[in-house]
Amino acid sequence: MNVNNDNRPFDWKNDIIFRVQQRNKLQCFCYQDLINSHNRLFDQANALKSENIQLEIQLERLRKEGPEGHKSVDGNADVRTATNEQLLVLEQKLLARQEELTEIHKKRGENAQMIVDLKNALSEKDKLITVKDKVLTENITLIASLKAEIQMYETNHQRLQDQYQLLQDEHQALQLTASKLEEKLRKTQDENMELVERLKRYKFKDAEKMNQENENFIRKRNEKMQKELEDAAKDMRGLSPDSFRDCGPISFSPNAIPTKHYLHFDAHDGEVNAVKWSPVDRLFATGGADRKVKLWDISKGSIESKGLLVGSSAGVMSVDFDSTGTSIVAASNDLASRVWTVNDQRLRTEKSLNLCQIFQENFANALMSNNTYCYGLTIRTSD
Amino acid sequence: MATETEDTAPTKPAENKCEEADEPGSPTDKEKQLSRKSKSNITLFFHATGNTPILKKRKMIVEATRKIAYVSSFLRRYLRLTAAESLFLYINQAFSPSLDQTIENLFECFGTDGVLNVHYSTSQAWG
Amino acid sequence: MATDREVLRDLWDGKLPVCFVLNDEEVCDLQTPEAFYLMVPRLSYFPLVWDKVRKHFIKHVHADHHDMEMWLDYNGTPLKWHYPIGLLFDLYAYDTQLPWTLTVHFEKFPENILLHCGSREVVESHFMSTLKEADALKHKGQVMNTMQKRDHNQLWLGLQNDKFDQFWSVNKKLMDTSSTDGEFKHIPFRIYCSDEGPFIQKLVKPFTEDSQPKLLQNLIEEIFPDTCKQVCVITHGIELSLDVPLQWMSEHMSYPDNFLHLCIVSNTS
Repeated sequence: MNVNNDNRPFDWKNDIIFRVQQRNKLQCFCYQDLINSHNRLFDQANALKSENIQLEIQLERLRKEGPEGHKSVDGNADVRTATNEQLLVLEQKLLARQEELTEIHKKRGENAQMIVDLKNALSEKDKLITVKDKVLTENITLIASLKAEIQMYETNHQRLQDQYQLLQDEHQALQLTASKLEEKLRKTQDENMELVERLKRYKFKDAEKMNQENENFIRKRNEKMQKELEDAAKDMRGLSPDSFRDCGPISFSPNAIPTKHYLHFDAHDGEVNAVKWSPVDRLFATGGADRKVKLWDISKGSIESKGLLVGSSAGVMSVDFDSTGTSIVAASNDLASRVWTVNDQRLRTEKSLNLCQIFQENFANALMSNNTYCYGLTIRTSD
Repeated sequence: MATETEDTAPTKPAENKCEEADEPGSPTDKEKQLSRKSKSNITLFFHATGNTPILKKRKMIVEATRKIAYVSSFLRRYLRLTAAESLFLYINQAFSPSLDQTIENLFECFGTDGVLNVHYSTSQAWG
Repeated sequence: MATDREVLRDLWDGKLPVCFVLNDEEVCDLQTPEAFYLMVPRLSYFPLVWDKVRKHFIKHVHADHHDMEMWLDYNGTPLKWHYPIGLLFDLYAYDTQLPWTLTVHFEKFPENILLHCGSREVVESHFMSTLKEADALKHKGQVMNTMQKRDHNQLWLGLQNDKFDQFWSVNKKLMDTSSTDGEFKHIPFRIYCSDEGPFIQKLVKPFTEDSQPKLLQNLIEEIFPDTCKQVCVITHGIELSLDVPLQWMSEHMSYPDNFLHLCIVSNTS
């Protein structure tokens, strides 16, 4: 490694290469093989060493075994062989025994295992039994409570049945009395019917009597009038103008009989059953078969409808005002009479009467009314 | 062989360890002044990385001839790290310096603005 | 370019014969165990190669120390596992007679000097961190960040299994300068002075302000402005002439961690 002091520009590279190669030659190649071979030898030496050690160990072992082997060789051989054979047999026996023993041990182990298993199973079963016992006692108590409940319900049921029986008996008794009473009711009803019939009959007789009496009365009056007329006709010759004057109002003046109608109008759809003047105003009321009562005003010289009073459900047979002219009453074939007020024309009261009463009223009205004008329509009684 | 004797005596100047740093006068001047033999000081600036706790004193003035091992052991003591815990120092956020590298060399090569930035972490951060 | 690749390949193939010896005080057998010889790649790290060594010596130490971390020293100097093996050799044993004899220790771990190395994952994370640091210097970390996890793994596996092609198929992306006009932002380098403290690392651009490529000479002047003495720069076991351009050096003579590890030996001659 000489220092080369060349300054030429490309020399340094070659110089370096040269030096490196020189270095490698010196340091590597000289030693490479040497060291490699040394290492090889080293490894071999190591291997041999370890082999050596192993051999030594083997030798040692063999040496130990040696004396034993030597012993068996010398001495009285036959006895030895015999004893050896015996020994062998005994050993074999021993071996067999030992095997048996191990087997027995094994079996014992197995049995112990089995016992342990069984014990475990037993304890498990015991546990199960205790559990079941518990469940059983629980169930028993449950059953007892249920039985008590059943008992309770049964007594309840019994009591209720008794009550039911009692109630049924009562019911029967009540039914009996009820049927008895019903029978009584029917009887009384029948009686009632009979009585009503009788009453009707009496009333009818009464009416007939009354008619007869009426007829009689009319006939008597007519007779009387005829007689008077006859008398008058007899007295005609001696009759003074004074007497004539006295008799004047009694006789029928042609003026007194209305021959000509003042007004004419259609009041009802059907027959007119009743008319009545109001006691205060120039008003009158009519009642017709069309179930209506009508108010009329003639104060202006012509007919004027003042109102229509409805409410009757059958033909109106008779009407009348009260003395002040504020209310109006109408009797109807529907077995009822009704009162209206004139001013507001509203139904005030309604009263059912039986047929006889209506008839009487009508009849009385017909008789009592002074200002009744009949034009071809007669008041009729009906039942 | 004399190099090694320098290593064996890190306990010698233990009295003047580290002080709170004042901004070094003008780092470029200093850099020029620095010769190998001078006992001038170099400011280190520590940056915590990862989950490592941040130091209260982030600056530290160290003699230029000190080795990184000294800084490392100082930081270990400061952070109360046990021997089992590891501490990684990084220069330039790129490589961890060899523990026997001197502060001077690192400052010469990687110092900026008059300080040498050292990142430290208890877990591996870069490479 | 074939020669450039040759450089890469030759550098990659660099190996050192190492003789591991167990520390006498820790031997608990009657006889001292035999030394263990191994060819170790210069670009690798000790924890990646010393499994066999450990297996060999563990049998001979006291059972209490079986779980202890193994460490190495050379002439009483503990060796840092996180330095590439070639660097350690250049740094401490450049002039020694090969093979390089190292003492294996299980006890008295020098806590103040060495970092702990529990497993290969620790080495991997250190290696990747250093790669990232280098990339941060070269490309502001952009190339490394755009790489996928798979690429990172490939880099590591390539180094671990001594697979040149596997490693360089990814590493060439890190050495790529096409996006930055054929130069790195800064040259990732570490200068080790055997008589000084720890290594020196500074921002150095590969070109001067008037676009002239910087040479190794310029770098030395930049780092040691006040020393006029002749220095001798050693890396990969060779002395470098001072007129090598930095950019080329960084691209071709970096260790797998993408750093130029340069040892300065005072040249008194």
